[in-house]
Amino acid sequence: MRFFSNILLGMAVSLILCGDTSGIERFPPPDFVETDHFIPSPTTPEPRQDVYEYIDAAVLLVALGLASYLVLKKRSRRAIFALTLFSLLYFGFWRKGCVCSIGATQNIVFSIFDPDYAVPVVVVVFFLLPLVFTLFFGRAFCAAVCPLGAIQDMVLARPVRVPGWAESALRLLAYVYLALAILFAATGSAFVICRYDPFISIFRLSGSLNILILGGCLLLIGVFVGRPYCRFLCPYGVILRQLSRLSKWRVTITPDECIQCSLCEDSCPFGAIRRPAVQWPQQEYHIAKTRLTFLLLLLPVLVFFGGWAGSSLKGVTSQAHETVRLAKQIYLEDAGQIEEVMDASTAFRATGQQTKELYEQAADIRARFEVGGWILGGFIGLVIGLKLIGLSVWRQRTDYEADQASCLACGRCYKYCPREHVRLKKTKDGPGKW
Amino acid sequence: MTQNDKAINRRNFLRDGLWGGCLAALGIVAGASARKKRKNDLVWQIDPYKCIACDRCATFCVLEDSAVKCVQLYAICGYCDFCPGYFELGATVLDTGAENELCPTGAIKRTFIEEPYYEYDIDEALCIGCAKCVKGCAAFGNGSLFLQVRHDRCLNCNECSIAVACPTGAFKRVPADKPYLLKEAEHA
Amino acid sequence: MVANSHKENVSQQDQVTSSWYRCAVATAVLSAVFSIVICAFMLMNYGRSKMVGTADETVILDLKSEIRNRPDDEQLLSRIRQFDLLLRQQRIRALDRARQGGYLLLAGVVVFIISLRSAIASQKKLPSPKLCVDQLKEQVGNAKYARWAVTGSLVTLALSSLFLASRVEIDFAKAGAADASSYSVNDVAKNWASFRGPNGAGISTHANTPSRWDGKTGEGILWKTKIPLSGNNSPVVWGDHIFLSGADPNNRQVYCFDTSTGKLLWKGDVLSLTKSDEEPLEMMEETGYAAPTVATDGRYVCAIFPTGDVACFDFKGKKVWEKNLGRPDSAYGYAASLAVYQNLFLIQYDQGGVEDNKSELIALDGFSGRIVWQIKRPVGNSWSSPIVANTGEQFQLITCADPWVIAYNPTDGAELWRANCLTGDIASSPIYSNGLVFVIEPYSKLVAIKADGKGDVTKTHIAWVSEEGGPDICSPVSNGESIFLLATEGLLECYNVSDGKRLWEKDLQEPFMASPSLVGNNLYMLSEKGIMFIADAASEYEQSAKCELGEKCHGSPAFADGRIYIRGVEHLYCIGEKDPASTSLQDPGKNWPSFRGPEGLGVSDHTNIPTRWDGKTGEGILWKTEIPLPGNNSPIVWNDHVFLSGADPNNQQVLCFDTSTGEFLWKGDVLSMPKRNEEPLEIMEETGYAAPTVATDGRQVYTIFPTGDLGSFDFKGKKVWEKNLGRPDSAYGYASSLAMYQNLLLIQYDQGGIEDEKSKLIALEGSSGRIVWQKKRPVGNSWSSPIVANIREHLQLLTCADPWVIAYNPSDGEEIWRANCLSGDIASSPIYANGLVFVIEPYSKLVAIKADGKGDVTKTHIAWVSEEGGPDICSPVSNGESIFLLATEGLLESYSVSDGKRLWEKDLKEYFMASPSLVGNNLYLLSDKGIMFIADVRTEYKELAKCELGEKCHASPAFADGRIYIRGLDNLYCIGSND
Repeated sequence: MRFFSNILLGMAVSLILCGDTSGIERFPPPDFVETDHFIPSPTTPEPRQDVYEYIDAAVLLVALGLASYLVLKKRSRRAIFALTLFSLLYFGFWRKGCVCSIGATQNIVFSIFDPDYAVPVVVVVFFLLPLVFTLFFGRAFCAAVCPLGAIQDMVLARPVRVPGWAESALRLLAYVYLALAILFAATGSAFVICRYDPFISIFRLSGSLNILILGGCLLLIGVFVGRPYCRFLCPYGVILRQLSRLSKWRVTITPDECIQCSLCEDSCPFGAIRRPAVQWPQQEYHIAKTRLTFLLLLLPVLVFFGGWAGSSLKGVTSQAHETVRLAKQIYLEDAGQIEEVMDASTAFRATGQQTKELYEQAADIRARFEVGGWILGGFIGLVIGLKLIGLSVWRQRTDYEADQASCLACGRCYKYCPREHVRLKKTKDGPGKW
Repeated sequence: MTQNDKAINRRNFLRDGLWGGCLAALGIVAGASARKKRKNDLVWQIDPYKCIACDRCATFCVLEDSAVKCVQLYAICGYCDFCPGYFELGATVLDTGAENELCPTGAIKRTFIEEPYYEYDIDEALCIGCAKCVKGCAAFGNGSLFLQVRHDRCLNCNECSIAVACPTGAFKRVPADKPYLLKEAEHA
Repeated sequence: MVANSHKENVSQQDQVTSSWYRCAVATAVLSAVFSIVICAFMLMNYGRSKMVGTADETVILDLKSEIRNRPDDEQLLSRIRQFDLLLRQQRIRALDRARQGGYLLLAGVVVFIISLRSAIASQKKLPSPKLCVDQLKEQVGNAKYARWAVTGSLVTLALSSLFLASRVEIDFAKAGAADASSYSVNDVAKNWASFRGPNGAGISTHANTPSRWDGKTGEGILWKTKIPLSGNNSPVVWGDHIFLSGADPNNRQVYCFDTSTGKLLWKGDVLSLTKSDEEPLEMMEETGYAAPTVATDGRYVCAIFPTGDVACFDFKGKKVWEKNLGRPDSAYGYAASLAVYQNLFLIQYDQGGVEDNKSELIALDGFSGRIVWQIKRPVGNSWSSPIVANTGEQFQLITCADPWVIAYNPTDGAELWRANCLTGDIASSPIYSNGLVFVIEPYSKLVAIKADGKGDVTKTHIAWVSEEGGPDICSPVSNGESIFLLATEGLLECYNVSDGKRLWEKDLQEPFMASPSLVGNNLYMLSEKGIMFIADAASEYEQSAKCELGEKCHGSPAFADGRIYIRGVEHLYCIGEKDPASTSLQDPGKNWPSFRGPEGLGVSDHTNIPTRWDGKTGEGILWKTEIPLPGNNSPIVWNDHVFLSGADPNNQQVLCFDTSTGEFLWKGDVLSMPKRNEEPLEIMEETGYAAPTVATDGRQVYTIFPTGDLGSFDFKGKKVWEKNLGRPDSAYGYASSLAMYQNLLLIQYDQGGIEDEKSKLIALEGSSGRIVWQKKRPVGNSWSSPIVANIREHLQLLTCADPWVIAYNPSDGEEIWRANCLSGDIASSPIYANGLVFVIEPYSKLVAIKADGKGDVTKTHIAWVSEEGGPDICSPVSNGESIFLLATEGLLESYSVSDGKRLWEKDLKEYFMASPSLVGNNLYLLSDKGIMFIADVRTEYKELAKCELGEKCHASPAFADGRIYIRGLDNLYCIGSND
């Protein structure tokens, strides 16, 4: 055996250099003569049963239904809050916040663009259910089911009003985030939404320090600014916003008719309540008209330049793809511009694959990013253009209303409405009267 | 008045049209992604033939105690007396002294079977997935020690942060009904 | 009304001071503090486990390595064990703390939030809608602000994306193309990378192969080097490396020799990784312990030995990997050589009998030794080497053994075709020649097989068989029309390729072990006695030469450009004419290899330098050639090449001229490789875009440009490598010339201010461009050129800049001494003369430093300082007694070397950019107008001649044997007498 160890000593060098880490079978299997020792096989603990996945889906379905009921029929903030708490505990701390509907977006995109990746049903369910429910009942999901929303809702203690202009500017972030997330998912580069999910490491009570800090900060902000992530960052929220514009039934502040008492005005921590809007005076009207036409003409320009910018960013965006990064590393090493080598490049060279092939792969991945960049940039251009247009058209409003898109259906405004109190009294001692 | 009604009707009609459109769109997305839908879930696993036994699995897992552990595939193991996965290079005395052991956490148990065979088991409670033993075994032994994601610990994140850090793309999604990628024994 | 409501609120608020509220606040504060404490604690814990943990691990690793040295140090042993235990406990504790801390923190935060919320809830204000005065105004205002906000973010988006998009990214499409052409596996065809060279055909394409030498007189033999261990394998050649292997029963080694000098560059030991129970291998002497020839893919060299040990080394001799394939069971001992295809080394591992089914074909990856593919072969043991033949549309790996000849696809080992036509001990390798594969069965037959078959082609594709016997060892060679067989006893036969008819035969009456090779129409056949038969074999045998080496030879020779490498039983021989490339390194002294000539002193030791010429009449001017691109750099000369560089904002070129005719031989473009997006370089006209002078080591010429682009070309103008060092930040533009030390290219890369710490001294390997060493320099930007001075047998690389004069060891960049004595913009180069180094600070002083110091010698080794001003551009020159300074305005001063006293001065009333040079006792001063002042300056200024060139000159002249090369603004002049 001493002899052996000497050999091994001698081979220390080749250990360091030897890229062969999968190993070859040098020694024959033992043949036990004295003992009849049987050769065990390694344990393979099973992953979580699929059943539980389906249970999650079921819970999600129930929660959504319940949330919709509480928001639209029961109109009880307390109940909604309770449900929120439950979702936080179940989807958040129990299920460790994964897989969530927000992240599921990427899986769907990825599965559409990558032929090899088949998305599990549960993920599809997690992605679709909230959308469908939103189409019918508004953003009940955000109100009481989404764990990320829930944890922010919990910490929201002293809301301050975010000025409208800041709100509309910050909201753009979410669109950009969504666009990027889709680009990266479609190219199979990364799931950025998951990577930068600020609260997941809180749900897990462990995780990388940076993300923990990020989550902490967001929560701190969340004490004063209602649900910063939902309003300004959530990419899934962007989709929900648009769908809830069309939702069949939605939150109304007052159970029956608005008496314009303006009591509900500052009840909403998310700045989603719209005042009645007065008629537009003539001179303003003309300016507005010209502005609108200008913006309408500007729209295609914005789209085009957005696309152009997006595509010209391919060099940067494609860095998200590991193949491109590897190719760059290899290139720089070969060009002698960097001395130290990385595991990745060493491992690559160990495969004996030609760098030429790698470069070709990197090249056409980058080409894909170029195309993606056109779409991404165009989309952002479109969003901004439409936003400007939306800010220049005038919607007449006679009553106090919850904004279709922004309303998170948290139900805070209900009990501010005198009509609501009337309703409650009716329901309480209504039957007793007769 | 009637004018107004017309406008409202038109708007409603438009809205309903859009609404239906969106529903249809969702349906299409569902169809597109369900086209090749799989019954059971996907989980993360390490391809032992791609793994270069760097120590990222130990450090990059979102769990404090990484879900990646070393696995002993006894079928391949040579039951060597001098196990290059267990002992430091050039360890002269083949005992369980800390100075001879390769494993920083002493997670490998060495039990005598019969001359000259020893069996080596991994204590997962102690193993941190640093792959020191994997390197040794692959370089000089049969490569029966290799890393695997242990699914009783893995949270199965949607994007595994070790997979992001993995230099060789050894991390891959595998169907949950075949959640392990164990090596194939070459011995006939 | 409004007022009322207000009042109510206020009164409400006053009431809310309930004890409940207070305790809520208290809990809130408490829990907040608690959470913060926990948080801090966890952070600490995290930090410890991350940093301290790793630190401890390194410590314990050190301890462990220590225990290896003194295994029986009980104390150390116990220390290790305790420490190890401690570490593990720490790890576990850290984990627990993290877990508990997490829960505690969560609890704390929950309590905090609850109490906070209840506190706030308990004093909730009633809604107080502020009825705004002008609602319309507000609406319009809001919309407006929102629009502006959105526009603002649009602009920021646009700007940021613009910024990001402006970064230059690598163009992988181009990179891929470049990679294909770069120095890599694709050069296999150009070199003699494996047994019998390209395609294993034994054919050399080099026309200039020597045909006359004599071992006794040493005529035609460039060098001869002893080979440590013997072996019957043949040398292989790649670039300027020769590889071969040797072994005895106990040692196995791979050797690398330098082609130009024959020096043994390195030898690598290959361990035997055989199983402990095997008894040492016994080999028969004919085969020997190192019969298989090594192979190289241009990056690594791979060797296999009859023990089954395979090892791979890089060109520096570092072992990349080694493994054992299990000892082959071979009747006479394993002897098949390695074949190489791209990154794969191919091993024909035939063993045992046909039925044993032990034979294999194995492809190993050069980088990792990984088995890329491996397939069983239905053959018995053989000694023939596989070849990788390019059949035009594909590469075929052709193997022959008993009984099958099989062709595989070298990339994946897929079988292409097989023919059953051989029996017995197959030793000679197959060859491929226009469409046919030729294989030999010893003493029996020669078979020609069409190579375009699929599957078993025994019946279908055998073109012809000649049954008239065949050699048992030597492999055949073919020129396409006829194929030549050389039997061990010396019978040379020639067959017709098309039909297999025997054309002629000739008995050379010598025993042969080495296989014949073909160069043009000449057959090269090396007999066992070491006699090379060279014969034209086109129509019949016409012996053109017979060269004796005087040593026994078993290996086949290797052919390279103008060379033959022959392995005798003891020595390795290089046969060929002395060409510039090889003579070079011995005597740069004869040439003018870099700025200001050998050692950069501006001194020429040629005596026959012309002293009279006239540009108008053309008298004394040998030739004059226009220079395509401008540049302020000086020409350099190597044998019959003159090199200089030229550039404009868009082009950077090295230019090569012929010394005898002045013919413009070639120009090499150096591409600009900017790292980031850099706007095109702007350089002031005085400096120009090509100020640094090029340099050569006799093999390649090297150039650098103010853009930081480096390039290297061989003497034929082929680019060897290029790279970019990052654009230097230099006030007037980079101007330091290159210095050469052996194969090292030395670059004084001074930039920025002193505090910037951007200045570097860089040494690159000439052949590869690899950075061998680089040193940071504590100086600001400078324009002076470094020189490699041989001071009392100690080589010093002298550099001067603001504020340090530093001497380095040129081979490893170790600092020898430094002196702090300069300031300002240092442009003139240092020189040295009897033990003193002279440096100049413009307009201020001349400093003499003793060169034998160590460390900081500012206080100790400054011999003298003369404060009487100094030139700002021109470098000084010295004859040992006096040193001569030439100011730009034309003031020539002479100082005594010993004490720095000014001996005399003379105003030449001309402008000078070029540095003075010294030939014998004559000083050559080339003025800006192109007037050369030639003067004897031993005692005082005695002007001998004043020659007009008639063209402005900025660069210093180059002096070669009997010639002066002067670069004018537009033309290159050669001055000398044509004889």
